[in-house]
Amino acid sequence: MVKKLLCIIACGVLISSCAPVTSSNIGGGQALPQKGGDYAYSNYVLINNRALLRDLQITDIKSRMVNGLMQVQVQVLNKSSRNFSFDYSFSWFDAEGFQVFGVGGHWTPVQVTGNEVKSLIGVAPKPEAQQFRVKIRKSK
Amino acid sequence: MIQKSKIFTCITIMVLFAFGTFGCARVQYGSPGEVETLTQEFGSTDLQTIAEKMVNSMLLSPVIGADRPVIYVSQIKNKTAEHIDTKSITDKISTAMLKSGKVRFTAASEINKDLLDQLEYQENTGLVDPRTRKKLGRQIGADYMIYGEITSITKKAGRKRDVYYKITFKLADIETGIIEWMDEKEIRKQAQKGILGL
Repeated sequence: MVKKLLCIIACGVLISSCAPVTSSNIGGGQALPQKGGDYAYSNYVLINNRALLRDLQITDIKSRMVNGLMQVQVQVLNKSSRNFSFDYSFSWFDAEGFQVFGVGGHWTPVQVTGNEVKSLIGVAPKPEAQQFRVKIRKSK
Repeated sequence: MIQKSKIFTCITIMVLFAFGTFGCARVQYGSPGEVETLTQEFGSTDLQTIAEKMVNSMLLSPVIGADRPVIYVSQIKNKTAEHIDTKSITDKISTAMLKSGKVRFTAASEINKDLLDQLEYQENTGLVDPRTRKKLGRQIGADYMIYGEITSITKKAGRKRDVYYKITFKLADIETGIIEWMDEKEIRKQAQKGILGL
């Protein structure tokens, strides 16, 4: 009985540790938050790795229109003193939430040194792209 | 006799298992957007990151305005020791730029002879309806020309190997000869061989 109970607890811990840490939906027409913690940016940034969520902090998100296209800058701070790498990928959506495909969409590897701030910059592939999401994952 | 037959059956099962494990290749689809680090040579991730950097930079340039300039894509010189399909890089960039709706490309850079042949066919064979016949001398001249180069520096020290790529793209005004836009992308790839040299 005790063994069974331990098994159930272990499985629970395993499942909860594997589940995505933050989930996000593109928020239609929401204003970009200027400052805040990781969770404040969950509509725009998805980090689905617990270790990365501990080590990385989104310090700023900016957007502007250039030549009719949305340019986005996401600043990521490596809170740890370790050097490591992660991958990021921009996805773009139109006003109705349909995905807009362009040259991006692939994973881009980035190396960060300890306590460094990196700027992840994305440009909308078309003028119709009005919303974005950045996915960040641990490098394989 | 029974023992011999048992041994034969065992060997047959082992051989079949070995073939099943090592003999058949396992094929599966992968995402084209995955980071590829199979070897140190120029790969798909390099191509994608170069194209993204150049497209983003060019689209934000003041040269690309509302008047949809016409661009001629020239050759990207490969000055590395590797075989790199530079046409594939320019194609990826051209596709993304065209899809943005901000520029147009002239086909003259790729199929000038084919275009000329088709115009001559329409003009001279008498097979084409004159009402739909396209006239010579009405092609639109390109406003800008894209060109560039890829260079690399490779160094080896013991089991370590370092490759540095530098990719430079330029956009020149054909009429004035002025370079209106220019950007570069640097990529560093490092590899270390195992103790057994693998």
